[in-house]
Amino acid sequence: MIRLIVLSLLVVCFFGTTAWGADPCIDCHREKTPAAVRQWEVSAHVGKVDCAGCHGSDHEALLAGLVKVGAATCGRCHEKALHDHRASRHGMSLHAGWGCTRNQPDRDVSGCRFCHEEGSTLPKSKVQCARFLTQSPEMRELGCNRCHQVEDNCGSCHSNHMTDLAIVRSPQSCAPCHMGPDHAQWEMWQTSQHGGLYASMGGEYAPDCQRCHMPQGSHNVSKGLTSPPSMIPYPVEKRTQAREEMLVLCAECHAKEFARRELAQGDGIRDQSLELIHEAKEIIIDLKDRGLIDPAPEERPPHPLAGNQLVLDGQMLYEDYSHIERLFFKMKKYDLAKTVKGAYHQNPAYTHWIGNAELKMDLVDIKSEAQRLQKTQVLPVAAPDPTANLERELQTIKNRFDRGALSREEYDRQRNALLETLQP
Amino acid sequence: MSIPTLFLRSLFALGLILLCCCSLVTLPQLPPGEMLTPVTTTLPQTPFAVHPDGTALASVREDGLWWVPLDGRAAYRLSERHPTALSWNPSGERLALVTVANNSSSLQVITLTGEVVATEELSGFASDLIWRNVHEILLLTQKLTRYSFGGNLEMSLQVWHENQPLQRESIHSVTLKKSTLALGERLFTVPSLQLSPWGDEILFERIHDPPQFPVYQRMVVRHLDSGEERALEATPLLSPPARYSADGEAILYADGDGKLLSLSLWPQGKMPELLFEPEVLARQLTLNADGSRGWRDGALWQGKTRLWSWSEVEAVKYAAGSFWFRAGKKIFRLEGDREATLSPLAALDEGQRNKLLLLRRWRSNGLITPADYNIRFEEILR
Repeated sequence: MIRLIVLSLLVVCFFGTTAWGADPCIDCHREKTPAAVRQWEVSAHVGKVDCAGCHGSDHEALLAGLVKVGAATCGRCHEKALHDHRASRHGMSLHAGWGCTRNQPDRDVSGCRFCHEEGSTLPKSKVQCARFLTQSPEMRELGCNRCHQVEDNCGSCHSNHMTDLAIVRSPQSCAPCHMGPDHAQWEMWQTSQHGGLYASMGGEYAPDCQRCHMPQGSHNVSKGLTSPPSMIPYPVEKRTQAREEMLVLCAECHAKEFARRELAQGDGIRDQSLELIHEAKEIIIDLKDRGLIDPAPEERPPHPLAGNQLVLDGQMLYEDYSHIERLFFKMKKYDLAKTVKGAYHQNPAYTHWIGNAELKMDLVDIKSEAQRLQKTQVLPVAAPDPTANLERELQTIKNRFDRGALSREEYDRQRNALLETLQP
Repeated sequence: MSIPTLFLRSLFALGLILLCCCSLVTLPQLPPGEMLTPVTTTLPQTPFAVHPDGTALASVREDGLWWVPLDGRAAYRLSERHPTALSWNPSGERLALVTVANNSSSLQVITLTGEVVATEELSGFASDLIWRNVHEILLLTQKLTRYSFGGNLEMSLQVWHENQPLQRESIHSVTLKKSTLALGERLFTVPSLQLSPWGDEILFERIHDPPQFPVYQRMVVRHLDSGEERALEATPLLSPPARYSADGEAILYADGDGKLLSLSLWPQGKMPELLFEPEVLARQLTLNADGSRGWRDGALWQGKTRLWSWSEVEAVKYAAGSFWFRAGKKIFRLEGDREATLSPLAALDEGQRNKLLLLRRWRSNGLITPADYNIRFEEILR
């Protein structure tokens, strides 16, 4: 009997040690990275996934920073979550927010691994972000990567070593990235009626981020959205299907037709806001046609992707440009987002005063700046040069023709009319 | 007179007759009305520059650069330098010379008395220079950097303007294969620099050396004010330099395959027109002012008629209404082409010229079409 008890104790000790203490990393890392070990020890991974299971066992490579615990590592077990994640905007974050730093003077080679598989020169995506490329390595890492790495880093939301779902079920987990002037979803929700009720009554009475955007634990955060970040709606078929998916969620609390009307009002505000953006953009393009942007694109440091071209799309920078472009950047990147997302998040203050009012005041500023620039075009009286005006007009109509704003026939007509004024 | 004296005199006379006969054999048979005159001596393989009024020239001798009047006045030395390129400004008051040493060049501008007006060190090797106007010089320079895999050749346009800092703009950069570098300094002779008869545009050649294909050169036209460039036809490396036609609306070039072609610059994309298929490759190409006569491959041509040939000619220029040849240690002048010495642009008054220059700039910028230009051109000349 005593022999049996001793043998049993030995077996327990042996297997117990193999499960935990025998992990060759633990003893050292309890000192080196105590939080990581403590978190792992209380996680669902303990006893199932050891350090090498995710990090590998090549310690040299680990120390050299060459081993990446990417989404694919987690996906080996969490297959459905990875599938949903990759079908969503989160799964495209690096594609949207990165760029190759190969030709940058301050290149940081450790960043290559985010876009390249080990040993491969082929990037996962050729999409590049001009704003990323103009940053310092420190800003790229802290100001860009910390959010955009969500594409390939489950730890962005879950934390690296903990598995408690309370972490990711809290709307607070979305806040570090979904806040601020360009996409203030967290503040909008928090100060909306949904957010207020959530704060006072709890999640059973009001939705949080996850309830609407990650229903039933789905990792596809893009479900139910009818437009990309540019706010320009998806094609009818895609946006109709997305709207129906969202209405299913709304109908968990509201009458479906009520929810449909509310979201349709958001659509209306989106379309009206896009009209304002379009009007402002046309003003700036007209100034460009007339050579009145100051400093002109060819007079400032080249845009990392477009060189000396005027860029007003998603690759627009917020530095090294003219004042009128700065006004447009604020209008498009900040105030359009606040208005439209404010409407969809049922936040009247964001929709109107923080968003719409600013949008319209931006347009006033842009028109005023355009008038000021047009006044600078008047030639000095002391040295009038009629051909200089003619040349400017010819350049203006050529710019319009080149960007497709004038037909060939109309361009020929206007050009010939201008040339008629040149006295033989 | 004694018999020995008479014998000696006869021998001398015979020698003179033989010498004359030899000269007659050496000198080519000239067309009727043409006259070839030796004007001065020079060092072989050195440049010379004819003064715009045709009364003098600058040539290189053993002890430096000399001013050589052609009207009997005494010659004198202008500079101790031995330039590799020379050019008078349009008024004939300034002479620009380039000297090369150790892969870098130096530009010097001097007066008729040899007084130095300016000296500039140029980055790279300058093979040619031209005066755009009385105050402005254009130079193409090349700088070669050698690497284990080959080299990088950077071409720059440098502009010298009196009393202003030298301006430099990089206009081409090419990676050269090792096999191309074996050509050595001959590479530097590729980019000839031609000024349009209008003075608003230059024509030069760029080297291209793609990894999997043979090296070649491509002609490029660049408008000097707008900076607009247009790449034209490709030709084999070391093809002779192309030339502007007399009206500046076309270029003449040898395609490296025995053909002499004319390429209309406007409209773009038009096929080159075959002018002439010579018996040998066109290595030399010089035209007179109205383009009616040209020196090609050791022969003077009027259209497709061969007027005269002289195989010993090493360098040819057309200036002050004459062709000028360097053959061995002498410089010769060929006179007699008096009726065709004026450029067709000489008939324009200043107002017409300025308007057409403006229209040419707009055409180069793409602000007007070639058809627009042609219509306005006719109106202005009417």
